[in-house]
Amino acid sequence: MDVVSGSGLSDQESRRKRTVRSRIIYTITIAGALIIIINLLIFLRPLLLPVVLGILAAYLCQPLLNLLYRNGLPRGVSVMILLGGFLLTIFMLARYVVDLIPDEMEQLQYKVSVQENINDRYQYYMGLSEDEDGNIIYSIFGPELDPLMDSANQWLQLSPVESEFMAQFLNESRPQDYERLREAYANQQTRTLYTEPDVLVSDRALEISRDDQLAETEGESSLILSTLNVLSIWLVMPVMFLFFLMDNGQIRKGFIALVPNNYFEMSLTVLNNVDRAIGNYLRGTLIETLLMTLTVWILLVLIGFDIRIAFFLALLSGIANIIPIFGMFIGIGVCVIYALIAEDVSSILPFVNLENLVIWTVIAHIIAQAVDNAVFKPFILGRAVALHPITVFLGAIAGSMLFGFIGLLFAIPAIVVFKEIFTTFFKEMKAYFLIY
Amino acid sequence: MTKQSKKESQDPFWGNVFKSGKSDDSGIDSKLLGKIPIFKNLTGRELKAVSEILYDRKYEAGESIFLMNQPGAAMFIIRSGRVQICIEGENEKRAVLAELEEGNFFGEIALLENSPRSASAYALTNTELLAVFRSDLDKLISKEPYIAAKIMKQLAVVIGVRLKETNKMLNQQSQKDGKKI
Repeated sequence: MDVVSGSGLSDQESRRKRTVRSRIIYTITIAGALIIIINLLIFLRPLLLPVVLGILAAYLCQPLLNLLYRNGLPRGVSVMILLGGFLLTIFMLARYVVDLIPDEMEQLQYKVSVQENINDRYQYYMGLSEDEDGNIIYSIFGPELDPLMDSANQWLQLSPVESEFMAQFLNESRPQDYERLREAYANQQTRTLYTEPDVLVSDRALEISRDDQLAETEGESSLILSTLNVLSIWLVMPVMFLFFLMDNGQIRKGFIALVPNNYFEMSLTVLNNVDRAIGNYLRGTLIETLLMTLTVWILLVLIGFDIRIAFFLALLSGIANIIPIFGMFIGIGVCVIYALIAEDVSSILPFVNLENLVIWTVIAHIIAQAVDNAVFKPFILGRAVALHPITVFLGAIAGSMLFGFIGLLFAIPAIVVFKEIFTTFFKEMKAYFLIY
Repeated sequence: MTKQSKKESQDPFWGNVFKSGKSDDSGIDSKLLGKIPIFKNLTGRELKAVSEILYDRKYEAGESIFLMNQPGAAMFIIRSGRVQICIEGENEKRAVLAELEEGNFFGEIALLENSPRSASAYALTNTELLAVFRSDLDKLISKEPYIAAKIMKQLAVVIGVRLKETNKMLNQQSQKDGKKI
């Protein structure tokens, strides 16, 4: 009898020691892993965006993969088809963006035209045309806006070398061509500052450009190297896309293998619920972005934007719309800037012209936002993004401080993902009697 | 018990992390799976597809696999060892319903609905289990409906047989108590 109870005690003692040892080892391992992961994230920060985008694209393509597989295509072939589609999409987008980038001469023309247009619009809206001294808006905002306009004019002013190029180009072209450009170029040479009407913009801009010249020449030499560097970093994206699409649950199994038995079923339930919720949210967000892009595109074309430029601006507005509250202003801001510098407008609506294009751009965005809030969001996203405005505000600021615009863009999806993980985790912990 | 499995069973955590080739070898898993009633009509390729959604778990003697009233999310197949199914009573008393061994399975209702477990399961010896998770089976239904239909049909048969046995036991018990149902 004594022997039995003695062995029972030593067994209990051994179990207790083992539990304590396990806890210490797990804590040290997890803490060490976290330190390594955080350091890696900081060290490999430039890789973060291509990796996240590659994984995200693979995640979003999962239903397509299942569809192809269900229709009888082998998994390998389905993955290759999707990879081909992914690479083709990237190639098309890259080509589209490269086509939009103007060459050197076009850049100079844009600079001159943009300067002319923003000054025209500024003077029109502020009542500064010809004999006028400014309207009530100018009397309120003029002191703040004049220095801004001066800065913009100095930035857009051609340098002496650029000016020489432009003069040569205009001399070589036929006299009847580039009438507006000639006029704008002539105006640029005589334009004065708003804050100091006696000083020419070209004189002030010359002083600034001398300071910047040295920095610019240094920058040019490393341009090719930095382009190659960026390209090599972005090669990671299709690789991640391929790996995650090829994965047939091995990553999940590997993760679950690390989970102690007590938490096994709960972990699977949490993973499944989180996967479903995040999948719905991300796919919903993608559909909403596409629909918003389409809506804004149609509206911008209706008010007379060039169809190609309108698509680019609509795509930017659609993507920015992922960010609640701020996104709308980014979209409006970008389109309004274009409306301010637009050369001409060819709307099918007779009442839209260059002078009121800015107002119609804002109205177009308000309509798009109304459609988004009344139709797209409730039907596509449901309550998946029910975040408190303060969370959205702080999250967006933190995201932009850490990773710039990309951080701003991904802050809200990241918060939604973490919110879903934590709420599901605690809900299931309670359901499995692991916590109170 | 072989040296390898003995070593693994002594340390379930690291055993789960560093699995021997045996647990990932779908051929061996398929062989065991083929013996299980709900998978018995599946072909080799279909068994391989099923083995891809299985989780290999190791439990020590006395360790709980799941507890009564916890949400059920997975069915378990005994790969080796023995498992006790029991109902938890008051004052930590347990009424044993069944003792299962290699090739048996339990918790199959969790594959059909999200209801709380009607009984608890404990490992009686060091036990190795294969777990099938409900949502993985749901995904299999959408990806490979033909396989899933076969599994579901067999699952219905097994549940029917178990219901008949329960009725029979209930009847016998009632006759013992002098009541007739």
